[in-house]
Amino acid sequence: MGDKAITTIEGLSEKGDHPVQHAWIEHDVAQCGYCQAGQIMSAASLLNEKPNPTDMEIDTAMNGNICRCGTYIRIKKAIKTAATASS
Amino acid sequence: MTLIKTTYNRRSFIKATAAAGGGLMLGFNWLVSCTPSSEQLLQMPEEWFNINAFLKIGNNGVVTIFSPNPEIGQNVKTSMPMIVAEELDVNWKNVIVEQAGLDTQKYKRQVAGGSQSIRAGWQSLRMAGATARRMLLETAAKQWDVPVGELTTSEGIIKHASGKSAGYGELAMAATAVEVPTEVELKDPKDFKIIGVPTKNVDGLKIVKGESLFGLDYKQEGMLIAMLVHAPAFGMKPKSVDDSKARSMSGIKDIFVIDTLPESIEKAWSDVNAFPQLVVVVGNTTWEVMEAKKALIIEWETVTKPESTRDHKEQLTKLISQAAKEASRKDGNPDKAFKNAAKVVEQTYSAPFLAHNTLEPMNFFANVTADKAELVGPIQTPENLSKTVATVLGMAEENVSIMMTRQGGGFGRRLYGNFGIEAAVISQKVKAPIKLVYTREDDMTQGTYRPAYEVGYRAALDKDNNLIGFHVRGSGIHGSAVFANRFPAGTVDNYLAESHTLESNISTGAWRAPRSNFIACAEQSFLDEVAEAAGKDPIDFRLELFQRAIDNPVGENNDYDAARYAGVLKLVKEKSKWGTSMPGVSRGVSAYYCHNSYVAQVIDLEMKDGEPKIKKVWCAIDCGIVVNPEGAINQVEGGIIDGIGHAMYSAMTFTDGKPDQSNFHNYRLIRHKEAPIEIETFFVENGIDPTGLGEPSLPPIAAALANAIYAATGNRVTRQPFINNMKVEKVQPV
Repeated sequence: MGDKAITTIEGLSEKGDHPVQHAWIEHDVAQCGYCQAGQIMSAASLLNEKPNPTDMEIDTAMNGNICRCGTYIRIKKAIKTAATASS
Repeated sequence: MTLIKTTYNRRSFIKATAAAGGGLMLGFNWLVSCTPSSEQLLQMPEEWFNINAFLKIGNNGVVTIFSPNPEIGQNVKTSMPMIVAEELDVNWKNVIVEQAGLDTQKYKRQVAGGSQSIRAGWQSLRMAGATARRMLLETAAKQWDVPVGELTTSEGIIKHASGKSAGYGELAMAATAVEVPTEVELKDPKDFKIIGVPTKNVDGLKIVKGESLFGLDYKQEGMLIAMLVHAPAFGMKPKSVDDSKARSMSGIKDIFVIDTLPESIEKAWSDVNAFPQLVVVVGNTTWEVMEAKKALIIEWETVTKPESTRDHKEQLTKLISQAAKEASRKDGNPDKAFKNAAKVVEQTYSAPFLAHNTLEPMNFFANVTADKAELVGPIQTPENLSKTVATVLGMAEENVSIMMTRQGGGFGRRLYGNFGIEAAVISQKVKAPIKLVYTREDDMTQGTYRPAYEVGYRAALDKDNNLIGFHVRGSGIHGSAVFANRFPAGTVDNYLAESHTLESNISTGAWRAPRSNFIACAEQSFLDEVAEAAGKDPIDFRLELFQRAIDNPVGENNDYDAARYAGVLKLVKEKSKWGTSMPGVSRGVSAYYCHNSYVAQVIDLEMKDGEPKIKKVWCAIDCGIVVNPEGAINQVEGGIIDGIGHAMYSAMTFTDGKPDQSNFHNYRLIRHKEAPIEIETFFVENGIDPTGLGEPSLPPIAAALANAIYAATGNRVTRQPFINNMKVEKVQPV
């Protein structure tokens, strides 16, 4: 990685008010919550590159983030809400 | 209005004014605004008054409610306090929730398991809120010299017709001196203002901000990291350890072998562990300890015969070809019914071992000193852990304390607290605070799996296609999944249920909806075959059976309510518009009862590149009163996705005792693109006290999937994981 900058969930926003974080709360996505930091960062990264992703683009971008609680449907809804909010 | 006897012991009512507070706290009910407005900032009180074990009230009216049970993602940290707040009659916006520590004298059942938290806690949580409300009312009545009956409460304020009014905060100090009532009134459910209202997760904001909530986040000053190496195969233990290289590596403090469950100690049901003897490395950081683990040269010895999945399959198939010594249940004359049958339908179903794979791997913090043991971490059975830790450490149980963190999944794995015992033993040995951390591989290959199962069914139909005989014979490692008194017992005159079990050195344990998670799939897939053989619609066929159980049940020990069972099927039939054909869409139906709740589901799918693409799941559920519809729907959706994923993709297999899977590159869990596009949930509204919700949506869904795959392809999938057994073009795993 060398000197590359890495943003983690703690650095996504100062007050937890990134559009993705808002959307996650609006859709009450989390169950156990453990995977959600990773889900949120993948979603934020996706929206940085593609502000209005298609379902297939969401599936591809989020493929590496597993959720055993099964919150996938809410995650997808939250990504779409965040996309609308930022556009 | 219901009267309820209070059943507190003295410790529940330590009357004391407590710690000073002061300052501002961000209310957890903060939602979507960018900057919290002033009303979203809860002014912290200067003084707290403990009213009972479940709640304290601040002098400004802010209320803290202690959530007694472990939170593993089942939403109890939100829903249990909602019940207290309802009967206390406060505004939910003025409530702060805190996780209670282990104290079963105060809180009775502090377990996350069996979908029991709400149904077992329902009365005591209501009682806690109602008792506090009554004590506040009595305080006001005394101060104003009016009868209690003339007072009303609303959102934390007591009022009298004379115009007098006071907030709970103003009365709280005096209320701590009121005698605890022996009987209190509970609200009529029609007056509920908090129960039944969709309410956001109390930890929602902390979760999206990545705040420290979980066991793995926990830290203490001077804490060391411990990791372990367990034997590479079931049936083995360490023989010798050469740590000459590892010991001198950077950051390494100690390396040793421990036995966490000596044979001499008395064990609880939760003390399951295939690898009690472990090689332990303790050091400063996870990285250093992981590096040292790799440098260990360990010789293992075989203690019991190594087993392989191939042998298991043969053994289970052989078992179910044999009659059990004793029937689990027998009604009528099954032999005769099958002899006289016009048609006999037969099928065999199987499923592999499954790992729990909580996304937060096992971990625990322990600080054991000469006179006490302090433990912190994720555990579903803190009381059992406390008892075993005390025994293993040789310490009185009152000197063991356990704090529960939020848990990155449970699913049954954290019922078995071996990791907590291990942490305690390690801390005692190194005389320092330590956090034990499992890697994903340590976790997945450790055992305590969902048992592997095989079950055979036979059904006898007469010439008019009536079900006249039913026979189920189950087996598993360990334990059969058959529930002899569940449906279709009670609906058929001639019925036989039998069970076999196969012992193994591979450890197994409860896994979300134990036994039901397999048997529902087998039974409901089989009924689909029987309905087809009878030439009947699968829903109508089941409804006929339930009608029989309503009108004239066979036997007396049928542990389901046929009318409620039929109710969810009728509801899902209506909502899904069952019977209407949709071009390109294939449907399957399934229904199951477990944890005292009834679930019926319909799946709509289309086959794409040999894999099912699930367009929609319709789910009807009867679980009595729903405390928090937001969390409840989330649980139902999660159970459905979890159930589809495991039936479709997941398996633990073994070669000579060694797990063939170790991480998510070779253990397949469902991923985003494989989840249903939509799930719609319908709750039956009947005002009955709440029943289980964290598990019941999982068991039936695999059968709805199998039945829809059959509708789409003409092939019955009977062996899990389905992806390996579908007679369509094989799809490469992810």
